[in-house]
Amino acid sequence: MLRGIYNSAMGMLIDMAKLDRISNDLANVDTAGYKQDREAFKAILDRMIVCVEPEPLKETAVVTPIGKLEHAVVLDEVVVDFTEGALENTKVPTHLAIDGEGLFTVERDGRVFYTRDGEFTLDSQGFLVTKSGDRVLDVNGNPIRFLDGYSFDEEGNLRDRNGNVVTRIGVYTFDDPRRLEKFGNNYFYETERSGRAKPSQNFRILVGYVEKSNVEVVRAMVGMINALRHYETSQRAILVNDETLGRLINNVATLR
Amino acid sequence: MMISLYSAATGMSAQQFKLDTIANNLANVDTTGYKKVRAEFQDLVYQYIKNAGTPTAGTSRLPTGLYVGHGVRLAATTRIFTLGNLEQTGNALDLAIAGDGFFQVQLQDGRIAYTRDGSFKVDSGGNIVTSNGLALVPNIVVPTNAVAINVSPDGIVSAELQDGTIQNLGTITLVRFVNPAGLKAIGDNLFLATASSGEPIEGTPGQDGFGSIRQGYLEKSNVDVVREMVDMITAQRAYEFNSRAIQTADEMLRTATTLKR
Repeated sequence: MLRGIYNSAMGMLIDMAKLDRISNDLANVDTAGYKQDREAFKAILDRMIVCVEPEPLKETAVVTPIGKLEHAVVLDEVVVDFTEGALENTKVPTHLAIDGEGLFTVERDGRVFYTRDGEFTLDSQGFLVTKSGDRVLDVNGNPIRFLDGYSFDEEGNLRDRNGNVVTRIGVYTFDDPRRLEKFGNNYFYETERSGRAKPSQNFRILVGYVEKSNVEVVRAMVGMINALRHYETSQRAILVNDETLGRLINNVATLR
Repeated sequence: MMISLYSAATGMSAQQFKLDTIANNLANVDTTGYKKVRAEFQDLVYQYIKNAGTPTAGTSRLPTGLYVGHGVRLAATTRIFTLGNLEQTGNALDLAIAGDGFFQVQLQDGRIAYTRDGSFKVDSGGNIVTSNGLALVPNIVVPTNAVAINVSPDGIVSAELQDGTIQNLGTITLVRFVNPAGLKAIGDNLFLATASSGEPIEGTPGQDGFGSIRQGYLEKSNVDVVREMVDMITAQRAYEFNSRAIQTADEMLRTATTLKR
């Protein structure tokens, strides 16, 4: 059959995957600490296309390479785009935003997750928790108790009423944060490729601020147009291929 | 069908809910002691089509995963307990708390509710009550021959009687919570304690971090109209973006159906 049909169909599938990704970004356009995704595609199944000219007299054939043809393109990977989102001033003392590198650490069922969503609140015992009720950890991996009169400073130190440092909030970074994986609940977890978490040096904590989602709507809208039009073009290509095939079947070598 | 149809739909309903909270904030822009509410969102679960680290061939492993998200969900509505503006009214029983703390009032069923609305009145029995007639806790009775009521910043209520003597009527105590955002709003500017707010901590106004009492003032709502308007714009636009995603998905599906003639 014609290769073009399958190539075009693969292209259509990719456009659908692209739109799924864009829709998720757009749905999270107002989610604090949300990081948009970027996808990467790769062409697979490179084949060398050759022209074979038989020479019957010599009982040989001349093979001339024409070039390479990719048979398919697939969605290869999705990486997280960690550019900073806009900051919203909420004036709430338990709302923290990281300006710079790194993520907050939280503990859920004994497992450590990382998040840029600093829309924290307190639980009934005064521990700093996320919206899901998971406790935020300090540099030593212990939950942080935010008692009366406490406040955070720019370095992330938790100070008591008299200005004494009680503890410091844990902010960790990775060799390649783009390779962190998303869990939902605005959480990320480390993977082999992201590397191990290590304390971030290069940040400051903004108290009373929330980092908004970094989804760029213009890029999303353009991506959406792009995906739709490419999808339509691929569909046309399939139709043309189909017509060609129809001609081949019905018109070539007909006995009239 | 396409995931994007559903994830964009979650985005639309989230923004719809956000608009609901904005509308409620704006409706209460002039409500004494009202505290604004914020809608907070979280992303939904991710579906991993390929997991990172899966062996591909020989010793090779997949460098990163391939995932697709499923949209957004409403995580919480958080009440923001910042101080509202204090407005001078001149009424002797208009009390505002300048700082942290709640007044305690007794509900009809005997439970204690908490409020920042200090527009108190005196009922026929001389009790200090809220606008809805709920008695202040601890109960304070104003004698019939009082000509003036004075409330000190630390909560001591005294009355000046007709003969010019001063009579001490009692002390207003305040309560605080470890996590006031965990309080449950029951309407009428009242809140109830919950498991997440923690137990009430009672104290004297002006001490141990409690706010002091200002007589003749009322605390207005802390709704910032400009911010609410901005939030309304973003909610509307985000709603539109998501509806576009649905339209695009729909067009793609239509294109796909025309493949087969």
